Amino acid sequence: MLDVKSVFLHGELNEDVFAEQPKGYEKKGSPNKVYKLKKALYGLKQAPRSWFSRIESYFVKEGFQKCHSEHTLFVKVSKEGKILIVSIYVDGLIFIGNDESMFEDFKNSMILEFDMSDLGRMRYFLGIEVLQRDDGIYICQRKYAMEVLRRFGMEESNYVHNPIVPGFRVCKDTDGVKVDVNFFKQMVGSLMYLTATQPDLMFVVSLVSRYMEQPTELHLQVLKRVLRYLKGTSDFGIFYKKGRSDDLVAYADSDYAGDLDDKKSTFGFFFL
Amino acid sequence: MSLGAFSWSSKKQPIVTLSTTEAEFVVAAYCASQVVWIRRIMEKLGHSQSGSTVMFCDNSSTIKLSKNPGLHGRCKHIDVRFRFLRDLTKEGIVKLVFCGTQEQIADVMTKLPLKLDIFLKLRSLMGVCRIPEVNWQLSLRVVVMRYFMFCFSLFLLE
Repeated sequence: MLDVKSVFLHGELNEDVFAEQPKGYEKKGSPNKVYKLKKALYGLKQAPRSWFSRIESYFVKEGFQKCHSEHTLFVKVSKEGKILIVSIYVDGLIFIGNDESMFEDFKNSMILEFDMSDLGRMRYFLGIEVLQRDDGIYICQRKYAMEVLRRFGMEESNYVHNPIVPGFRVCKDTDGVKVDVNFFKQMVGSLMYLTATQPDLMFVVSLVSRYMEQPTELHLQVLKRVLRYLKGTSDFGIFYKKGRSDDLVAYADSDYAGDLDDKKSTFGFFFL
Repeated sequence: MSLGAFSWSSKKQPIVTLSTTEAEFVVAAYCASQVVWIRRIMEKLGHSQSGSTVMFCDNSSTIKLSKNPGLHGRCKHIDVRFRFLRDLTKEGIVKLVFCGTQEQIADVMTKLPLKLDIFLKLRSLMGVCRIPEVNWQLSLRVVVMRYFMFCFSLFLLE
């Protein structure tokens, strides 16, 4: 994992941008003059864009291929068939590959070109905690889960063992008492991100998100139950064991007419 | 692959289905398209799959439908998905295999009233757990073995 220092200062400007002189630092004799910017600054509208086009052109020059469906992902394949994959998120770069010498070359050239600091192995990225061990890789979102609980005032609640009351069925509930839509959407959104490492929440969250348009107290109750479940499982994550076979296995299942309102079915699948 | 789920989804179907078989068939076709995509990525990463990918499904008539070319009265209307899945099965990219409801991990993604013990079992099958303990016994064994090898090499040097 690499980190770029003062990231937006690397960008180059294509258009003319002027800045006023900072207060107290005006040049004597010409207080009405302005600066013409040669490079991007923080707070500029163009700054993120110019930073990205800068690093993008650098990657293209280095022989990386841009991924068509994910624009911040770059792949480099060497002559020997070794592979190096780089992903950018604003100022954070994570990379993975199967060749040590490619890592070193990449790191050194990046440190030369941009002002980078090497953070070593990835431990924390976008709210996901990563633990890399000899026997496998473990990912979880404990910190993020605690933040979500605190944000919605559920950190003192008692935990439950399953995310929904067994046998409970959710419907549109048109006559129910309405609740604040924004608050509801925030809750669902926060939980959506948690499903990145907790697939056991997936079903309930996607079920509740169907009623985001007109949430009622019934739906809020379901969400609160999910948060209480989360309270007990906030330190859960997925462990990927090393040294298993290469074979891909899929599980696919569907219920039948599970939705009470329009009788559509719900389907789910898994890859192990 | 590593006893941990790495791709999953739970969605409401876009169409109304007339039978459980059809509902399962829709999932199977959807899942199969994901299989094609993941297989392609794996191939790029240098782990191309040798055989066909096993897809577990708990509806035996769906499995039979994916294999037999004949049309059956109640499935006449399943058109595009029908052909798609059948082609993939014929080419040997996916293979539908029956598994009982108890082992069907994807159950967690589709149903509400799961009994607690089943839910916990399926959850651990997905690979969702607390940080697993380091296997101290194994690590200790490695350390002891290395120590002995070191002593032995010293002995040889002398």
